Amino acid sequence: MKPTDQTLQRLLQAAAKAAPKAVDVPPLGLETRVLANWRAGSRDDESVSVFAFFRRAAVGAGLVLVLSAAWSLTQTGSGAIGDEGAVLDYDIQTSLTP
Amino acid sequence: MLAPVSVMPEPSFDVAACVERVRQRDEDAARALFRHLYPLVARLVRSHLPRRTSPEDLVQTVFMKVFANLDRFSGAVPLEHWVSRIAINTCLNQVAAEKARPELRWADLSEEQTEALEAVTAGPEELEPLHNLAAREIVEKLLEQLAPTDRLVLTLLHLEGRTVAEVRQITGWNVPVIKVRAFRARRKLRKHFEKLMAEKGRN
Repeated sequence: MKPTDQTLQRLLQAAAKAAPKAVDVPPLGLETRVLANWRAGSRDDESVSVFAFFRRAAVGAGLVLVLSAAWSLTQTGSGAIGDEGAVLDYDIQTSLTP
Repeated sequence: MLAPVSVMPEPSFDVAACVERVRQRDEDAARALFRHLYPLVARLVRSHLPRRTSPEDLVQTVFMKVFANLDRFSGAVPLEHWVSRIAINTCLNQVAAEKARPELRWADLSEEQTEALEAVTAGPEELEPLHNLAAREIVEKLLEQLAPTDRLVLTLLHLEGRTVAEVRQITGWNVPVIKVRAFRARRKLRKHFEKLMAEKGRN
């Protein structure tokens, strides 16, 4: 071990013996500030959950809209085919009738 | 009047139950958790404090992070380890933000610090308590010149006397990473120390 290493090691050992004093009691006002922040955070959380509810509601409403539009189109489409079929039936019947 | 808070975990304090109550927005539980964790957070912040930040501000930041992320605490590790990591990372980020790392010059040392260095150089005898304190100040100034992670690993291993396993629990780094970082950090610290001692030789 180099002399510098030994000296540095001794310096570190001496420094380790002078550990900072334990601080058990928080300074005045710190606890109040931390808890106030926590409460404010809780309110933020509530607003976030309300926002999430509205977002889900909007997505649900959009889904219902798309499904009902699709169903409506399907119904309209089948109606169109039905009308064409009726016209064709009528044509066939009139052409066969003497 | 604040209730007394001990550094060691109180046997009667049920951490899991308290955390659960805090999650349900119980303010008394939040207060109890703050008082239970304060000594640990305060000690970590003081040990790894950036130069230009007040310890109180940093402790507050740590607690804000702890409470904001408490829902994510799974309980897989003890709460104290989880909180230690948050405290250490907060300090590291703050240290990293303070880019300027002033060089320590022999002329910057106080009389006690000079005496402490001379006593350390003279031989392996025990130093007086006052010199131990001065040695601590010198080491802290030397550490300030290192990168945040180097400073952290040396503080934990050499100043706080923690084992590699404890450093692993606190930082989340694996054992080879800790050993390599400690080796490199010690080498850098030695360079700064040699520079300081060379100045002493010139004076």
